[in-house]
Amino acid sequence: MLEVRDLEVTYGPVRAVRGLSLTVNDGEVVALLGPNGAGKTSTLRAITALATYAGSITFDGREVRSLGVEGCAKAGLIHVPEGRHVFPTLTVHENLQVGATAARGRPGYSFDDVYDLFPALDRLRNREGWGLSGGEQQMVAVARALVAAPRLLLLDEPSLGLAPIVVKAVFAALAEVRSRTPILLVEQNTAQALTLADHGTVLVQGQAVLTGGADELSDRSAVLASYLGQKEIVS
Amino acid sequence: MVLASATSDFVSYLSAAISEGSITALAALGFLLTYKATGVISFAQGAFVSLGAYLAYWGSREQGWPVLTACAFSLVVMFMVGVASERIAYRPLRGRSIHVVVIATFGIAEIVTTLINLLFGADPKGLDPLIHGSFHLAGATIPWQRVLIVVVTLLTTGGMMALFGRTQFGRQVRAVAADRETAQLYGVPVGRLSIIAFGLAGSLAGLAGVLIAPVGSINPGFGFLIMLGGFYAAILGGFGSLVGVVVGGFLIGFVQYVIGSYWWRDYQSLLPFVLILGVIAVRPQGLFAKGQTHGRL
Repeated sequence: MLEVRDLEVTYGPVRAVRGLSLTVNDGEVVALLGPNGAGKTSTLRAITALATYAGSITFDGREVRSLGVEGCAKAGLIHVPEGRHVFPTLTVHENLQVGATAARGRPGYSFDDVYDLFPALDRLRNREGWGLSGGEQQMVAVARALVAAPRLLLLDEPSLGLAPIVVKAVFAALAEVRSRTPILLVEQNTAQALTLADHGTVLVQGQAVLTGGADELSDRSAVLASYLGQKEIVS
Repeated sequence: MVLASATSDFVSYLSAAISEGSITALAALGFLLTYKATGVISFAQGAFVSLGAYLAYWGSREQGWPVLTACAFSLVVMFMVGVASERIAYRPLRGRSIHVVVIATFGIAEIVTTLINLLFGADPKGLDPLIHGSFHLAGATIPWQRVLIVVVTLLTTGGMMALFGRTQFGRQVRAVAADRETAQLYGVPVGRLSIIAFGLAGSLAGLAGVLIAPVGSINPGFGFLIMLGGFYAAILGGFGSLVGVVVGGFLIGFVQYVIGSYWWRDYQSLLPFVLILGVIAVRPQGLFAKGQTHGRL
């Protein structure tokens, strides 16, 4: 359903993404891995038309450039940005209500569904965004994306800056989500990402250096580690 | 007898303070609307107050319509004028420095004021009140129009609070103000919101114009002073806070018309500035502002 072909994203003299191609099919979770500055976020921003790009990105056969940012949301391409970006002056429930703008009658998650998925949010319904912890904000960000009735969910670093126990809770929820919704997941936490993903692509300096099934990537942890500049990946 | 006269003085000062404060608050609400939705403080609001009053004058005096019809006509036209100002002064300049947009709103104000001058002349004009007559309270004579002004202001404020707090439009506007890009990622129609916000701000300015015009007389520049009062009320209350701007409006009215009538009568119109300077020296963010972030549509 999502086809990225020869993607190039350039900021002035900086070429953030160079010739990337990837595909996400219905029912799949695809991980985009790589160190800081590899171009992962730029790729997601191009996919929802936030960044201008060269090459082609089609969602259900339509070029996202011509859909525009709002058009992507209305088509069901729902992007949870890096850093969560919960609306700070809106309550948790209001955040969800604004998220539901993009649903436009598409079948998806109801408010009750997401409160069931994240029971911790239920008692925080009336708390404003700025008063939430990082983990709570991440839950709101994912919940807000789900009530937008995503046909494809784009997640940018959902584990960033969270305590391990919170990361576990978020990924447990995502494991439930994946049975209904395909996901394109950007992560630095490779081990965690590969527990969820079917396939992965490793991006270094804007270029895909390694692509394969999640098992295969886990097996090649030493190679992965060298690309990512980490000592140990799969724990 | 002296006591009775003192009481009636106080009541009439207070009624002036409350109704002038109401108009100031109405003008401030118009500022708030475009500011919340787009981050733009539109200085066209003053000229729109004048234009709203002149449109009602044109309808009632020159066309012979009932005053209520003329006022309703004015509010509808002012909505469209607000939308036009968004198209002309804001939309083409979006993405430029906010100062450029603000200066463009001054340009709109100049154009509107000049048009009023050309069409109606500079002589003062009068508009009939929506409610004639007055009543007596503690020896003071209070026109019903002043009561109407206060009631309409309170209703409008309540309506705005409901609009921002309880409707999807209000939530979307607040979401855009907090984080424009993320709001767009969830399909919030930022373009349509800014049109509606500017349109409503136009109607609010028109409302202030048609309400205050019958209390005195109107001339092409009269809305400018009302707008300044509204701007000060917004600063005093804290830009972004609905309750704040209304309280700010009433405080300005009180200081000017009650305190200014007893003491420092010669400096009456100066007193609001003293109040504002005093407040922002102690609380630069205004009386009611919370730590909020604001973006633009």
